[in-house]
Formats: sequence, C-alpha cells, structure tokens
Amino acid sequence: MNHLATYLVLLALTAVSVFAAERFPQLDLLPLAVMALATTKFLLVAFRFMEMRRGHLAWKVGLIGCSTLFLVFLAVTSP
Amino acid sequence: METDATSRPRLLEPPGGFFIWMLVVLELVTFGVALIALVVSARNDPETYHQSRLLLDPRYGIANTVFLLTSGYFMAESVRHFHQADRSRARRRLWLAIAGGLAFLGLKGVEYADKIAHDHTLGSDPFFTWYWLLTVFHLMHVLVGLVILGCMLRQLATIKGDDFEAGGIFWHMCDLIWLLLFPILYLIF
Repeated sequence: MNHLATYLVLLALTAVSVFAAERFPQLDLLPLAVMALATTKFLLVAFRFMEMRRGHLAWKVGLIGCSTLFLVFLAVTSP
Repeated sequence: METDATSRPRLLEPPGGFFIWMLVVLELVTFGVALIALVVSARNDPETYHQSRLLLDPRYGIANTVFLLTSGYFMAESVRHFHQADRSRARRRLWLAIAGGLAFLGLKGVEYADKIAHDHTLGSDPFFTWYWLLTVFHLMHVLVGLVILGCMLRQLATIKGDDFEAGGIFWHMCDLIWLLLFPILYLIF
C-alpha cells in the first residue's frame, strides 16, 4: 500500500467513525468501536507514514501491544 | 540464498533514529495517561461530560483531522522524494505539509475564539478544563513541529537523510496524538 492509498484509507476511517458517532450515539459499543478505528488509524500512520514497518520486530510488537492495551483500558473505563 | 545481516532492522536503529522514537514514546505515554485520566474522570460525572461535549462543534475536529492527515501524507511523500535524491519534489511536498499545519493552527484559533466567546474556558467545567489542557499542549507540539519543518525547508540542500526523516517523524507524532484526542474529545462522550 503506497502513501496515497494509506491516506485515503485514513480519511475513510475518519468518515466511518464520525458517521457511527452521529448515527448511533446511544450504542453501548460506540466508544469501543470509535476508539478501535482511531487505533487502526494510529497504527497506519506509525507503520506507513513513519515507516515503522522497516523497524525491528520489537518496535512493531511494542507499538501494537501498547495501542491495544490503551484501547482495552479505554473500553473498560469509558462511561 | 544468503541474507545480508547488515540489511536487517536493528533494535537501536529504528527509521529516523533511536532518540526521536524515544521522544515519540514519551510523548505518547504522557498523552495516553492524560486521556485515560480524562475517561476515568468522565466516568464519575458522565452527564456533565456529555452535555459539555455537545457544545463542541465536531466539524472543527473533522476539518482539523483532514488538515493533519493531508499534511502527514505530504510529509511522508516529501521524505520519500528526499531519499530518492529528488529535492525539488521533496521541497514542494514539504511546503504542502507546512500549509496543512498552518491550516490546522488557523482553524484551531477560530475554534478557540468561539469557545472563549461562549465562556467555555479553562476551569468552566471539568470537560473544558481537559479540552483546553490537552488541545493547547497538542497545539504547542504542532507549533514546534512547524518550526522544525521550517528549518528543514531552509536547510534542504545540506540536511542529512536521518535528520530529515527524524523531523518528519516529529511531525507525524502530532498526527498520532491528534488521532487519539479527536475521537475522545469530539465523539465518544
């Protein structure tokens, strides 16, 4: 996936998260869904734009692991 | 087939260099802890956070997300052209990345003016206290990032590849932080 494709996917994920938040504001799973989309965007920027895909496996595992932990923690603590 | 050991990724040499990634990790941990504290705080008073969140216009957040993602795209393209020794294209993309950052700053200024006009300031309620602390702290990173991009533009003819890439990584870090701030402040409460 080149930078342009990554950029278009990032815009599409932003549109999906805004649509979900506007269309289903009362849904219990909304915070988890929106933050899962945000985490996906976060990882796309880190791996594709910041070129972490060329980095050592430990960096990749660390980034994915920490962002997943962050997501789980937010899901557990969100109102 | 033999594998060249020197081409394998090294733990202490991530793209852009070890120290810029240490900075990125520290900044992300700082913002991450603050965002978790915000969400925990909202759990104690969800109605106030919900009512205050409705006072934010998500169109500002959406437009600023688009500005930063577009700027990040041009930054990534600028680094790619720089590594291909095409400094002319790298320069043009860098200008566009800076334009995206300036658009973000301009729109943030408009949003801040709107909030101040309606007296939604630091301390007016817990949500807006978090809003101002987090967004102003992020804005300071964007300002520093723009100064770095300006320096990269000025020294484009002489700057080393690693330094150019490290500057780009700092700029993308502003994207990363915003990608977490935007949904938490504008969408989920």
